[in-house]
Amino acid sequence: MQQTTSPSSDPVTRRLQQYFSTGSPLFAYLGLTIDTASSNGIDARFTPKPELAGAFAEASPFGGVITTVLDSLFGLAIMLKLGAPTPIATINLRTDFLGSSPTVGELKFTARCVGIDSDIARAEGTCVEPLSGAIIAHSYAAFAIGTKGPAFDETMIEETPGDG
Amino acid sequence: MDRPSSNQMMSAQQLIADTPFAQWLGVQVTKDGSEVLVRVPFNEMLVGNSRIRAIHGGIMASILEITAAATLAAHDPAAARLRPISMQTNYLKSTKDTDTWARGIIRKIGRRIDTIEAIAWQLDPEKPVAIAVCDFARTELKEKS
Repeated sequence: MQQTTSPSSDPVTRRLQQYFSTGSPLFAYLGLTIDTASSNGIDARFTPKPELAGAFAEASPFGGVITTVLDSLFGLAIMLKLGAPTPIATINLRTDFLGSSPTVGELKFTARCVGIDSDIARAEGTCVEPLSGAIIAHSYAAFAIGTKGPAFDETMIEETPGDG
Repeated sequence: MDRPSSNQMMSAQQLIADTPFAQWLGVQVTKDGSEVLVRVPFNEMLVGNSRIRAIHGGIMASILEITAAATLAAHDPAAARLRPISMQTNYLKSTKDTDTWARGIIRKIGRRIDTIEAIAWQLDPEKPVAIAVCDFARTELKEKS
């Protein structure tokens, strides 16, 4: 059953939530809920729809769905760490699938930027099945900062406070 | 790799049919000579960055994972159920709002672990947009009572 929480009073979290609600057809479809967001990281959750299931582990969402959510959160976590709209691009992304979800219920995600070295940022995150606490997947990615394209979404972090 | 037979192609296609997420993505499996070829028609739902209209990186990883699994299914239709262990995706080139194609290369078929490389491109097969190495564990099919 999907949990509901009152809308966050934090402006950054609210802005990210709005982005994930209306920012693109994909994000609107996934229905990701952002619980907290800061330069220290992001906590989020979503309940996979039945059509996002994989073939091998009946109740679990397809691995790529988890990777899609984590990749999205990584980009946002790096943006929040940078504190300013900056074009970034994923260089590589590794996901380890540690177990399948025993239910088709809500999944929780954490993502954080673990370091920025010149023009390379790295992020890591997990997907957890909240009832058992089991880690379903762990992911680690590298991003190039200052690429030619536009920022992921410049409007969503206009009011982002500085690192701290 | 030998040319996939009709039965092997059916196995790959059955895998796609049995995978709800692959259906959602619109994945199509065809045969191109000796290879299983995956095509994913462009769809607005696949866009990650609406400003540059690029395919979402996670969606691209999903396409590669499905391609790897379909390649494996075509190689061994009788294979037990496959469980993804890990996957590393490298993004080589920005994507566009057009169809994506992918193919897989079997790197190792083991007793317990299979390793498949998958390559995706859009307009030019010689200019891949992303590659991935996927490890799958073989898991015995559960007995159905």
